Amino acid sequence: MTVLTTSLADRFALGQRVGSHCASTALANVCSCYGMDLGEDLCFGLGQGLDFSYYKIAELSHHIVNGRSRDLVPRLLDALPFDVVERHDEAPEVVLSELQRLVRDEDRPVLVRLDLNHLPYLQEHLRLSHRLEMSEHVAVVVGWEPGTAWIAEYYTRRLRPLAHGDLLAAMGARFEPKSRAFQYWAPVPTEVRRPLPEEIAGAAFRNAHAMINGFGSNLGLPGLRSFAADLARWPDHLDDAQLRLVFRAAVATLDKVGTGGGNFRRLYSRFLREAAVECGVPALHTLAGQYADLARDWKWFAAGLDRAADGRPTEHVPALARRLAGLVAAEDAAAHALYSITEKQIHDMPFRTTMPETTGQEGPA
Amino acid sequence: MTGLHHELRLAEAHFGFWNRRFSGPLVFGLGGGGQRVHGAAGAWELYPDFALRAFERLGFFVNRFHSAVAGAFLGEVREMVWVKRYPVMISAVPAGAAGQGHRLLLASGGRAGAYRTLRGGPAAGLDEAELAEADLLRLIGDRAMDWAVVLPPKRMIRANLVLRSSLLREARRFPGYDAPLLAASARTGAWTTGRHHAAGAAAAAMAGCLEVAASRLDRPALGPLGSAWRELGDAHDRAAGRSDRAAVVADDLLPRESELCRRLVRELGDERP
Repeated sequence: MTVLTTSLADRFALGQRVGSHCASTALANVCSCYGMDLGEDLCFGLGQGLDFSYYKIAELSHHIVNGRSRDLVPRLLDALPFDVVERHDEAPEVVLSELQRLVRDEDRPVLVRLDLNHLPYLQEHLRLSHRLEMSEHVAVVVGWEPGTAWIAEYYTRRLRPLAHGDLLAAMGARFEPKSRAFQYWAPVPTEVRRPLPEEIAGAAFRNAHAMINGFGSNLGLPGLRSFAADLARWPDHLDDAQLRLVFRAAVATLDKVGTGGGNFRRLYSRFLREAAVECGVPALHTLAGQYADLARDWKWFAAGLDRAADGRPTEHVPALARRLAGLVAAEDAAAHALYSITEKQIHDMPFRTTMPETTGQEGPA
Repeated sequence: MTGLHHELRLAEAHFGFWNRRFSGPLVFGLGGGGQRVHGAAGAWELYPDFALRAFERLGFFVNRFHSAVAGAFLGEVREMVWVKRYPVMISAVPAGAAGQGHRLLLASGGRAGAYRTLRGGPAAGLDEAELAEADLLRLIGDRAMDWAVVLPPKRMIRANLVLRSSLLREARRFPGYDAPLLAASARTGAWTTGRHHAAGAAAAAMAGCLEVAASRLDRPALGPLGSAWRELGDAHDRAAGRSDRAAVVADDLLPRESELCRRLVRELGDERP
């Protein structure tokens, strides 16, 4: 087995941890590489990861049903003191030369958006029984050699080699609405510090705001309500075979594939526990319990979908729709509680004025 | 401040469409417009997408698109402007104006398939026109471009809160991070006349923002601080004509800006000892 030994790979490996969700683990490991020990849960919350997306795309055999925000990476990088190079939709040869410059020449870890169907090692790890279109997977490029990029994944500390051609194919594919081809981020911290309480409370408030005010009928609570309304009607236009596909895909994205279990609610619950301590707000700890309950309920719902897919799905739909209606009410209550707790906090909280030390440094750390 | 004037007007018009009477300099502050961009391909003395970032920070939904060929996106633009009646903000590089960033706000449908537009560029300033689709295509040429549609939330995040945290964020960052990088670039002779004027325009916008912030945030000390920022902008413009401008940047202008940032952090914060 070839092992990559460069200063970046070594530095990255020192703080690298295995996590439950791709993007938040990737972000936590990049932060750690720069000396900011935040952990996955805090990264998920600061990146306003809580959401609900519901899309039907004509070209896909299944619906996209997912409980995390697709803007987690840019939102976290905006919430923390980072200077970010963000690129998308460039020509493939430009992407390769830029990645080479950033990773090999400047020793910077680069977050890349990938399609999981172009990653053989991830397919093997996930052992999915069916094809799942998902081009929102995030990993970190930490090594660059002729013909091969070295990728850090969320579920293992061992770096994965990926041929440049395969990397380009994975970066170029896109299925989710508005996702961008060849998108990558190279962040560098402008100061190394823990997030401030007002930043943590602010991120939670913005997340609650986005969840409640979700746009159109695809995102946030409106998206969840659309999903609940549609589920009951699916048997009218999908046969059992199609329902099986849709249900299995939903089980994967709601529970099995990098969600931390329970449609990302367990991750958010852990973030709230940490936020309660960092911000000194006990109410957030209570709310963390509510989100842990939601995680359990989503897990049950996904288990119900799984059982339905194994049998005759149409017969299970009414019971699933009832369970989902309960989830909608619980999600609504939790999001509104989060909104009111954090709204009060961010308006009462003092802003810190401590200035970062001037380092005199002339380039990225 | 020719280089930034059109951006501020466009930002003001874009917010005006959603019934928010925010002046351009206020939007500049809300979106962290004072943030420097250090890139391998070039440096910016301000954050070019400050208006869209201001929308995002206020809780609006910013739908960003990219089209490899200009004509390819007109179908979607037609739907946004004519059917859904949303304004569309386009960043484009028009044919024959290489290197000149150009923005276009398609505010609404005009007469007989034409678009009511506000368009501007650093050199051209800003003008209002009604363009037919063919003229629009001619204007933006056949290059790749970014465009965005902004959708309002049911309830906006309080602007004063966003303003305070945005100003604090950029002010905290400058002395320890941007200033050393800018000083290094000045020493390598990378400070052109254009950069001085851009820095001057950004400082003037910042001054305008602080003058508004003084009353919005009820912190009168921000007014004089705004005046000091305006003087800094003037000093940048004067330095543009000097042969020793690299030294002026490193030894005078950057330390002055760092000190202003420290004062701003002190004025905005309320941490008790």
